[in-house]
Amino acid sequence: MNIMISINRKYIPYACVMLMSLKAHHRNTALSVYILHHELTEDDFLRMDEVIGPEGIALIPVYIPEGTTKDFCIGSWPEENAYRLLAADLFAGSMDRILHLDADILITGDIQEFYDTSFDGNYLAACDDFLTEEQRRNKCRQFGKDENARFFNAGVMLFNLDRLAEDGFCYSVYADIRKRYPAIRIEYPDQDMLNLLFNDKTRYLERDRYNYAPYFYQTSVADRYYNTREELESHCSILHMICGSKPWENMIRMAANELWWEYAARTPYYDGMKAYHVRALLDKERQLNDMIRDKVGRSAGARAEEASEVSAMLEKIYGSAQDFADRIKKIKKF
Amino acid sequence: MAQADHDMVMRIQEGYEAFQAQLDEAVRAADSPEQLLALEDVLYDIVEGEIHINAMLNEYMGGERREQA
Repeated sequence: MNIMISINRKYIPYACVMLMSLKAHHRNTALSVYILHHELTEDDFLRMDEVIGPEGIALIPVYIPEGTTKDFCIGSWPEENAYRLLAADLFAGSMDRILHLDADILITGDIQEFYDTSFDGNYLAACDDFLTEEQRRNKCRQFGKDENARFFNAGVMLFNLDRLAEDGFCYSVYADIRKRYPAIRIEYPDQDMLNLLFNDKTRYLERDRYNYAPYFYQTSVADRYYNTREELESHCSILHMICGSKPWENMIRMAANELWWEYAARTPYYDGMKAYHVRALLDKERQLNDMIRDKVGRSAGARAEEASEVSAMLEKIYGSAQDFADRIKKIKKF
Repeated sequence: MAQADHDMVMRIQEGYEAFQAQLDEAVRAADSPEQLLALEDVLYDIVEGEIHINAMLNEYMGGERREQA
């Protein structure tokens, strides 16, 4: 399988976790991973190779000069995000297909069937994006599409390189369209451009299986929210930790995140990622604490029963000051 | 808020400030994976609880504003 990922230095640990999980489920499959980047050093790649190389994955650096995808550097999106638009430019002619994977993904099953899927004449194979029905309708209007149009998520995309090359779809075409039609509102630069062109020329595959986002399902499709290891491993082959569900930043316990950390523990980056997560939790806790204190301080003319209920909950969470001191002593004992 | 409840909440907050200082020290001193995991566990519980508290307070404050209006 040919895989492409696009990362900066910050995302090296997370990409390694994703690749660990990929290999764990494809022990007998040759994997070539093309790493598109503009800032990774030789030492970075040597270290990644030490971590991933023994797993039998070939890592192939692909340097992209800074500014190459500047037409799609919008807002806070890092330029690596748009590197997937370079797929045909870089790989057409040397392979018929390549699978793009975001780095905030965890592989939990075999994806060979996805990789080998027939394109049926389409330019891509992908899964439906994480949109509510209202959001989907808004996007139809935004892009001038039919009211029943589907849109795909660009985090997991299989490119039909032969077809893209045959019809001349390369980066310069996307950039030209971007310049010619500046009025088209683009929020997710690369994903929106690809959907603008290919949303109805994409082979759509089962999202629950190949691009399952726990955060989206938790908030929007509760009856298919899988929150046990067994459910995740039996229903899903690809987990996508979108938005606030990134395991290294998440504030809520989720089975998907626990699975992710199991793979993270196999990398030398584990301690650093764990410390980062603890710090993120601390920052969040302080933010919430400030908000609560502010509200408690400002409340006046309270209804007695609600006030008591709030106080009881605060005591349940915080306990007494002595309880906290004892808890800290226990932690420091390790 | 009824004064007795308010006083209790303020006492809890004062105790919590002392806790936070000790928590900061624990984070700085955490030099083993076990310590980090223990801290993470505690913080998950606290954050989850505080998210719930905050939501309750939002609802409570919204009700209070409607009363005042």
